[in-house]
Formats: sequence, structure tokens, C-alpha cells
Amino acid sequence: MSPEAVSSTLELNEEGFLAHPEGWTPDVATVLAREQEGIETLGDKHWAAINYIRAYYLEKGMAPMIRALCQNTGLRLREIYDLFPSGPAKGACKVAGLPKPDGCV
Amino acid sequence: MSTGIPLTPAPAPPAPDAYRRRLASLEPETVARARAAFAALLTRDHAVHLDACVHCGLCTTSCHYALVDEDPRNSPAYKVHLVAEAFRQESSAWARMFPGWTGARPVDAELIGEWVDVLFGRCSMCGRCTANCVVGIDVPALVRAARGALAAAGLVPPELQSTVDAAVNTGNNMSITHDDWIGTIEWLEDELRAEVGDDTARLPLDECDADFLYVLNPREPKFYPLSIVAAGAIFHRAGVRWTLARDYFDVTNYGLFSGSPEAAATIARRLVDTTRRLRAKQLVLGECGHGFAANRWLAPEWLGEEPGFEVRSVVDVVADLIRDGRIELDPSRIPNLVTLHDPCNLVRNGGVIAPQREILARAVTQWVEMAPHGYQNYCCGGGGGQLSMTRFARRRLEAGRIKADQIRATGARIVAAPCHNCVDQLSEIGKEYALGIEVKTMCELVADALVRRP
Amino acid sequence: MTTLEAVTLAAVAWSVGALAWAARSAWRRPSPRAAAAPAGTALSGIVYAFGAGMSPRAKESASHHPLVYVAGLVYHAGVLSGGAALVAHLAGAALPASIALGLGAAMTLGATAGLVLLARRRSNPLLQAISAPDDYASNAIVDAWLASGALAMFTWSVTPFLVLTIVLALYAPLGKIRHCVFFFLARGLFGTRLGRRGVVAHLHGSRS
Repeated sequence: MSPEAVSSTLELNEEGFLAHPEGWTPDVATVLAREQEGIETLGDKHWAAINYIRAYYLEKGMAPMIRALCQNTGLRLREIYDLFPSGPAKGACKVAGLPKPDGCV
Repeated sequence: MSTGIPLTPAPAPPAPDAYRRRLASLEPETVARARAAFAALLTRDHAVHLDACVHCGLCTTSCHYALVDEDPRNSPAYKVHLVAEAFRQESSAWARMFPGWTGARPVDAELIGEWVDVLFGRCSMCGRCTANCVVGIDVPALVRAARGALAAAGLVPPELQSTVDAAVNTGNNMSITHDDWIGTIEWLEDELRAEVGDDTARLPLDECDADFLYVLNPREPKFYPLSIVAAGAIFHRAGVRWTLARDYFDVTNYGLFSGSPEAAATIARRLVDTTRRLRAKQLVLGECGHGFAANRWLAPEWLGEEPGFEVRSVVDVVADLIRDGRIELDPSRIPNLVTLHDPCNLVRNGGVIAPQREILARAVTQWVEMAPHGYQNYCCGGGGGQLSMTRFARRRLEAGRIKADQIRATGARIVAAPCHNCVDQLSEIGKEYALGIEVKTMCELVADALVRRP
Repeated sequence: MTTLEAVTLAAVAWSVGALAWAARSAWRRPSPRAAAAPAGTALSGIVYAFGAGMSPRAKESASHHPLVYVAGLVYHAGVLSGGAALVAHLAGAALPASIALGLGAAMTLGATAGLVLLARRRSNPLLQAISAPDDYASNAIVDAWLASGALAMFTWSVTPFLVLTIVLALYAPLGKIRHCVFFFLARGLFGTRLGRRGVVAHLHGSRS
């Protein structure tokens, strides 16, 4: 499906997270990044973060610690916040198709 | 969403999930449990406030929910009304005899549905209504009692309940494992050393007899660890003896928001016991509004005992360190205009009002108050567990418009907020209302202003 | 003492007793055993709650709603005047004409303000949603009582005043008029919390 077609079929909850996390695809990430996070183009570093978060979520059912994200992708801590202006939880995890984490986020 | 266009929005009302389906067909035993719990939860204060309310409705214009949406259900008076109806039924034989005349109503499936929508979905328990009430009715306490009745019946919105359950079952509200916590602190110690340029800088774990045990919000190790580095840098420069705990590090207590005194006591007990175990002189609470109200003011009530040590906000501690000359700040490092958000549970309901202002006066070049501020501040909209309840997120963001308007009127580029929960909501409304602001905790600002050593 | 006066006294005694019993019942409910170390004194908060905190500038319920606030003040001033007139009558004290006229005027204004507040309750959607018949009845009984008191002051015809005093006194403990006692308890608890939590010390200049 083209991003435009993906865009018209996505169902989001009240906070812009995917209503059905299992329906995530890389095209979905592109659309969420653009329309929810204002990230026009996802670069290699974005994808490194997204792919790690997605893989971790599929295995463990939750978002990874930011330490694991940094250590497994080689990204520097401060870089994450530049890549995803809404931060790791409401930016990176949202684009990676995770449900909203519990707690103060 | 402000940017958003072609995405299909969630249908309104949202598709019935398991929770909604459960509310729509409550078993009589569940209703009976909520009713019994409500009667048992009512204290002297609740009873006095409920009989003092004259139903004048003048609180309406003091509530951020009611200010953005005139639906009567948003008024604090309506919230009190829903609790008062059940209270009359419970407390007065006369009212039970003439329910239609007196406005008495049993806790039943219909009232429970309204409690969920109104008391969970339209209130951040900020207490601004109380401050402006003719009488001083403690609306947040009344809302908490009704929420507690629902908690006893297992009827708390699941996103909020899961946050409470995570804390009760794993020791912190984000289910961070012991290895992840320790690993993160060790990793951050390297960040700290790079930050302060000193290889002896430490993030101490489980050191006994320290000046204080420092507890923080799990979102820091999980997603926003720079605030831990910031606190570590401040404590290192000041040369204080402090420690983190290896086991219980979570300052939050969502039992305050689910209303369950049992969950609240279980969570509060751990910090008291950990402080005693480590023989720390003080328990210092990281920047968290409700964590302050819970651990400083309410924990002794839940636990039935006084802690026997001082419980303070880190904001208060850092203000002392600055006043005593133990850290040196260079305000020119933060040239942009700063404004200050007052977290309800730290300020209006907590009494910590001056220290954050002392800090700003020394740490930044220029700062302005919002109008109104201090005791009369508006809630950011994220309190009362709202941030965790996705099903009510639209209302939360709309109610946040009041705070957004306040921030915009200051012209500030940086919003200082001594509460991680507020930081998250303020960041969201910054995006929603295109405020172009950066939101920082007090410790982050102070760390930014620390005089660099060659 | 006439029979009517005796019945009036009995009704007032019921009212006082029942209100005291209601207050005692509320006060005897469970209350937390332990409290946190205070950051200020309860007394400082209570002084604020009944002092500066009563100023219309201290709360938006007054500053945002000046007309309702004034109506409320006038209404309650009328009630106090009615109480004074009743006490004077039952004590057998003959009021000087000027004082009687003053009390009568205050009660007339009070009844008028009460009717304004009643009309507001009838017309405001929120107040309609949160009002029971008791809310309207409580207001109407007090309004009628004030009118009868004014009549007594202007014409020396006290029978309606005493009859309505009996109605008011019998009804007061059963509905929202209870707030005549609970207001003071609630305001005291409010002040206690503000004082103990150290909020009161910062209450000046919290607006800008």
C-alpha cells in the first residue's frame, strides 16, 4: 500500500497511538512520523531506533529502557530527543506502533 | 491532533472495550461491593464537607474543565453533587425515606457509570475549586472517596489501574526490573562523569547513613534519564552525602488517584521502610507533585504512623544548597525568558511555594510569573491520573488550553515545572497549541546553570 | 408566654438539638489516626479561613460573581436580623422603633435577595441539574420567614413570624439549611489543612 492508502485506513486512539498495534508496518511508521510527529523523512538513525523498539516490544510486550535503546543502536542519549522531538515514549514508541506506556507519560 | 488530517480519528464515543462493556452490565455483587466500600471510606472530613455544600455552583468558573466546556458535568459542583447523592442515601434515614425530595440516591449501576465519566473523566483533583469555594469544600478528597469505592469493586479505568498494579506488583509504576534499574544507574554514572568532568562523581546506590535517600519518577530511568544526571551533578558539586535505593526508587503513588487506600498504603510503606533500612536522615522526593502530597502529607494517614524522619521535596533541598553557597550558578547560561508552572499537589495542596522561586531568581537570566500563579495556579490538566487514562485524553488536552493560554501570555520560551507528570502534559499542550516552548524540571535548569570548572 | 411562643421555643430547641446531633454524627465518623509533621500551625490556617480568606478578593466564587456574592451577603444579613428579632421577641424585649425598622428593612432586602437566588437556581442549567426539591424548599421557607419577620417589624403582627419560625426550625436540620452549622466546621477543616501544610504563609501575592 502507498503511504496515502495506509494513512486513510489507520485507526488511532485519543492520543494518536495505534488502536491496533499488531497492524504496524514500516509504511505505518512513515505515516505516523509525518502526521503525528512532524518528522518528514525517517533517516537511518530513526529506523535504527524504531526497529529496535519494535523488536523489543514484540519479544517482551513493553517499551525498552532508553539505556537498552542507546546501547543496542549506538545512538547517543541526547540524540534520541533530537530525532524524536516528542521524546522516546510519545515519539519513538508511538512511531514504532507501541501502545502508550503506563505511568507519567 | 493539531497536525493531523487524513488519519481516521477514534470513533466518538470510542468503540466499547471490555471495561465499557463491563460497566454496561454490572453484576449486583460488584455494585454491592462499591456501595459498601463507599460507606466505609467516608471520614469525618468527607461528611462535614458534604453537609456544608450549598450547591451554589460558583466554583464552576475556577475549574479548567468547566472553563473550556460549559457542559454542567464539568463543574466541580456537579462532581460534589454525584458524591453527595450517595452520601445522603448512606448517612440519613430521613433522606432514604424521601429520596426524591432530599436528592438521595443509592450507589447503583447508573451512578457508577456517572462516577466513571465525571469523577475519573472530568477531574484532575487539582483543588482549585476548593481554594475558590465559598466554604472551602475539599472536592479532591470527595472525588477520591468515590474513586476508592470504584477501586474496591475493580472498576478503575484499566489504564490507571494497570499503573497502580505495576507499582504494587513490581515496586515501580513502569515495571522496571531490578537489573534494568541498576544497569541504567551504572550507565548514567558514566554520563554524569562526562557531564561534570570528574571521574569521582557517583550515583550512589544503597549507601547507609546518608543525608538523604533520593527517590524519583520511573519515567526518568525509563525514558528521561538526563534529569537523574542533573540531580547527580547538583549533589556532586554540593558535596552532599546522598543515596539511591537498589530496590524501591519510585516517588509516585497512583493509589492517590485510583482512590484505593490499601494500594496507596502498600506503595507508601516501601519508601518509609527503605529510608529506615538505609538509615537515611531524610527522604527527599524527586520533582513530582502528587508524589509530594502522597509521601509528605498523606502517607502517615494511610500508614497510621508518623515516619520519624523528615520528608522534603528536592526543590526545597536544592534551594538550600544555593542559599548556602554550596553550588555556584551562572544565570547567563540560560538567557531565554523562563516562566514557572506550579504543580497543584506541590504548591496549592503541598505548601512548597517559595523554594522554586528562589531557585529561578539565581539560576536564570530572566523569569516571569504566570497569571494567576502560586496558590491560585491553574492545573496543567495532567493531574489526577489523567495522563494515564487514554480514554479521556481528548478532554485532558482541551482542558489544558487554559494553561496553554497562560504560558503564551508570558511570552516565555522555557517553562520550568517541578513535576515530571506536569512536564509531560506541558510538553503535549506545547505541541497541541503550538507554543514553541521547552519544558524543564528545576534540577535540569539548575544543572544547566552550574558554573563549569576548567 | 402564649402557646404559640411556647411551641416556637420547642421548635427552636428541636432545631438546635437536631443540628447538634447531626454535627456530632459527622464528627464521630472515622478520622485518620496519624498526621504528618506540620509545616505551619492549624491556628494560622483557621485564622485565615475565617479572616482574610473570607474577603471577596481571596476567592473567585466572590470576585467572579459579584452580584451573587452581594445577594448572598444581603440574604444572610437578613437571616441574622431575623434571628435577632426573634430572640428579642421571645425575650420579651421591646425594640425601639428605629431598630425594628432597621431589622425589618434588612429582612425585606434579605427576602428579596433570597428570591433572586431562587430565580437563579430555577434558570441556571447547572443549578437545575444539582438541585433537589429540598434546595428550592429551603430557600423558599427562609424567604417566607424573612418576609413574615419584616411584616412583624413593620406592623407588630408577630403571629405569621412565629408560625414560620416553627416551620423553619422544624425543617432546618432535615435539609441543606444544615449548612448553618456545617459551614463553620468545614471552613475550620479547610483552614486547618491550609495551616498545617504551610500554605497560608504564602497566600499574599499569589495572584498577579
